Amino acid sequence: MNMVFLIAAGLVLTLVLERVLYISGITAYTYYLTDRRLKGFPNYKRKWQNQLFHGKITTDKARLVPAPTPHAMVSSCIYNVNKTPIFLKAIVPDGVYWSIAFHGRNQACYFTLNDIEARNQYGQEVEVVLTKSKKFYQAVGNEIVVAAPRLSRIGLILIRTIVMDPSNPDNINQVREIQKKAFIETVA
Amino acid sequence: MTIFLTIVYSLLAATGIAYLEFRYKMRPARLANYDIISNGIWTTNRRGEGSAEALRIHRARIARYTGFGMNRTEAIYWGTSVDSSGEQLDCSNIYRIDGVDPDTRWWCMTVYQDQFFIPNRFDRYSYSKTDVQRNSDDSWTIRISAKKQSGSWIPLGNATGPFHLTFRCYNPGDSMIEQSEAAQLPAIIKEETP
Repeated sequence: MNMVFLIAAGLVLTLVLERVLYISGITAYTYYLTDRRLKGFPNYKRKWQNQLFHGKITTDKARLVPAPTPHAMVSSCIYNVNKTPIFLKAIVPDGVYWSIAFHGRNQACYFTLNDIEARNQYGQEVEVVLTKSKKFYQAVGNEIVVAAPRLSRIGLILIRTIVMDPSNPDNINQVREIQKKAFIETVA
Repeated sequence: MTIFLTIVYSLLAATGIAYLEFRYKMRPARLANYDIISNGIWTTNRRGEGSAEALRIHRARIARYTGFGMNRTEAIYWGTSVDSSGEQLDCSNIYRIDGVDPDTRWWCMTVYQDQFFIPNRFDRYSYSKTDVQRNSDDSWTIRISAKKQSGSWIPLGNATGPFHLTFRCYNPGDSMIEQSEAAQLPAIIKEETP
């Protein structure tokens, strides 16, 4: 009887432990891989964090992120809001898909705003403040205030702008002009 | 002592099973089998590449194999590694992709090998809704091959072996979001084997 009870208890314990180990392991693995990917960005260095860098059209030489989009020019920022919120300002282009996306360390995209939503709600200019908690920043105007998830106070901001035809230099120059008008700075 | 041994054996067994489950679910060949929507040869994640609601295993797979996707209202990422007859896409063949614009604001068809672009002297890796050449009925055709083709052609350069296609649909319409299984997606036809 004792042995049967022990075997049954052992099986139940094994199943419970397996679930705990699997869930915690796969979660930790996701964070580890994302951190490793973020560290591969040239702008991961502390002095370049919280600054927006404007990418060019992606070619076959690009190895930063797998499965890139050849039809988009992407501005990227490794953000770190542990010490201070950051302020993002961008101009919304006309007639082309454009979006701001905040990506957390768990691969969840926790904030997205595309050109249609932005223009309908905020007009041609959009301002977003990213902070570690909404209690650390009080909105003073029309800016959108976003709180980073607790485990994603370091993460990635991507501004994607579609290039209608990447073989047309005029299309690329138009997107470049849109990119140049976007910036990120820390909030004092 | 017996209780202690039971706990130790349980822990060892649980660690082993968890590890095997992890390895099994992370295998590339299992990519299409978790929480996915199938539409013919095309598959996509049911909850979106960048969704916070996506399964843990899916987010781990995204971190490993792609990274930083968006949710389904922004983009649906359809993928396939086979043609319409179910055969593996291979660089030695010529493929014709026939399609009409699906219910989405903008789309883009991209060729990848091992998750990156295939080098070619034209720097052409994709076609989109706005630069593909149209047929008289507004449908479109893209050809993928190493050998030069007329019209919208994605060159495979000197690559050999299998490749993968991703069909990105940005700002998909309600019908594509709610009835993804029935969305009208392109057909991939192998034209000839040189």
